[in-house]
Amino acid sequence: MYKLKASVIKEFLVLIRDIPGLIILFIMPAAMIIVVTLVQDSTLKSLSDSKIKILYVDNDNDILSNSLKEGLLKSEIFDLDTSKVNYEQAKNEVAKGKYRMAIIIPEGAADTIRKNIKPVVENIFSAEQNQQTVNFKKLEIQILTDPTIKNTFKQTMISDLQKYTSKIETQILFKILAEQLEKMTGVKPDLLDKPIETITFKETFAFEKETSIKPNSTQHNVPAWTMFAMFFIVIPLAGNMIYERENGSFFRLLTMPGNYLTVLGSKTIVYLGITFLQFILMILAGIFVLPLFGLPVLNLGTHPFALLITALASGLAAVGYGILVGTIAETHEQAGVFGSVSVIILASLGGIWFPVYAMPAIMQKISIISPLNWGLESFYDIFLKNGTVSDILPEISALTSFFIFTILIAYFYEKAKRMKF
Amino acid sequence: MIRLQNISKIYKNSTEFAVNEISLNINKGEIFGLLGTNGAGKTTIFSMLCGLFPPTSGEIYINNLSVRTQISEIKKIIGVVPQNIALYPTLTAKENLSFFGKMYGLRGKELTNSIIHRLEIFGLTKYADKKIKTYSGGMKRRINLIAGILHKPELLLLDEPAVGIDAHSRLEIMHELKKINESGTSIIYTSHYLEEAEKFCSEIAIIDKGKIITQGKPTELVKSANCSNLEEMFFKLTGNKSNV
Repeated sequence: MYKLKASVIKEFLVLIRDIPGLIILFIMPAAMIIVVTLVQDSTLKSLSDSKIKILYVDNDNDILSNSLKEGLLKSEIFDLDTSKVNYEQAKNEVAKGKYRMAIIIPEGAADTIRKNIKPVVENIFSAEQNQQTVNFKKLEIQILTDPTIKNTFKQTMISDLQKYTSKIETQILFKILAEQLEKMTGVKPDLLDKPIETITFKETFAFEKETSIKPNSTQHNVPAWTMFAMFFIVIPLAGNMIYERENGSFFRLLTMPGNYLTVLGSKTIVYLGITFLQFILMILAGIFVLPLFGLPVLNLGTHPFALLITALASGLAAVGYGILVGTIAETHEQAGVFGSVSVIILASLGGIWFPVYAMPAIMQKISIISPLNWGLESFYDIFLKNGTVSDILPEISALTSFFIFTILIAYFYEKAKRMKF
Repeated sequence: MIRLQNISKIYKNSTEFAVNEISLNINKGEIFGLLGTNGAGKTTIFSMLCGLFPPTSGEIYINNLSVRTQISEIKKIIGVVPQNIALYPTLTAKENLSFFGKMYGLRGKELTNSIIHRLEIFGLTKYADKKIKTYSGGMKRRINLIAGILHKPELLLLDEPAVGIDAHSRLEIMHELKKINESGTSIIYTSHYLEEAEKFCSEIAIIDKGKIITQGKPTELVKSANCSNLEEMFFKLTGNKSNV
């Protein structure tokens, strides 16, 4: 115990005097949480503050183009420019990157819809022998897109346009139908200017337990980036171990009375403390800093003990991984590159950047190997579902087992390495 | 005190012997020099004496304790000074020594007194609270040495303890080591400073390509080889000038 205490004090002193290391451990993750949450939040808030520039070339100036224009303007996502008059001009502007997209409505577009719908309506009201053959004319609205825009954005955009055009088609159908009825009955039907929208969507979160938690970007991002920051401890921790090997102090420690587990134990205690401080810092950032940027306040749920053990178990897993990397890597370069890249891979698999449920089936299966996923699931249980200790037990067990497993590998690897000399 | 019985060492992925069938008996109170060129096998023997890794064959005994099976007992009676400056640069001399002293099991007044005493002897008292990274090479070497002798070991293992420092600092270190030896600590010392070894060691073994090529008291060895000094004898025996 005495040697462990001495070793803990030494580790602590070494750590607090490593200013760049402390910046990596505390300031960078806090900055990351703020930046990523801000970016994601603004994206989720439909980009209202930064409108997407779109060129709108109206060669028709009829009901279709006017309604479409009205709809696009109403969505408040787009900054519509109608100054360019033809396809070539629009193409040049988009190619230069001045606009993300151009929508070109061809001449006679509304007429084409009318001509397609009219015979259909007339057939409805005419006798069987007077039925006319309907030859539908294709209407093509051209969309020019900037090659750099993401496919998901493009698809959303096209889907929105389809929604608008479909509404307008219905509107034209109603109008022609009314005209036909007037022709037949002599009475002009009371036609609605716009189709009525009777179907709406009501979204409610399906919680198992009563809670005041509202899932939002803060509730998602704070635990995700806390896990990421905790695992980034691999770089200073592995670096510390390699430095000790390189300068000979590790050799000296091995020649001293005592167990190698004392060395690992002291590192575990100090770096676990660091991960816990990171966790506290992230929580404080979620509660006090993010609201300063107009983001939602972090809601901790009602089970602080569950939160505490999740933080500790996640910290243990991160420290275990750092010790393993520090034991196996021979150089700072190896530890730095392998450590950071492996954490990024584990974070990707674990759902830090992209939700696991949205991954392909094979990746969803693979994601369960990531300890970041276990920690994140546990945090989500608490932050998004108001989970209790019993809810998070499987994840906590997995994280703790991972720690034991990595420490044992590190211990025996070190021993085997020396014996194989 | 120390017995090396036919020890050999072949490193992993190597077919050559780093140490080949070496046998040695080193008595208590001796300053024993393991001398040789770079790659002769000195550090391999040193590492095996510390119990860092076992010999491929043969046995090493320190105070009749087997390095292979009783290393934890041996670690309590040895002090090790590695060739590298095995210290934490961001810690002060006092913090470094306090940590290593505690790891040797020293505590309380015994630890404090030992640190104060050693710092005083090596003329470093006024730098005790300065970080190691601010020290000169010679000062670092001295702290490196103190870290291995705080607990007054029965056997002190020194791997090139004065390498890379100026002649004056080296002389000071060797002088203090002599005093430590006189107080009852046996010393095994590896070096390629032959002149220094000739003055400092009571007995030496010259190692070349993993084998002992000669062993005995330096003066007697020089005399029997009809040479004027140890350096001349070394060149005569090994035919190697460049790496010493």
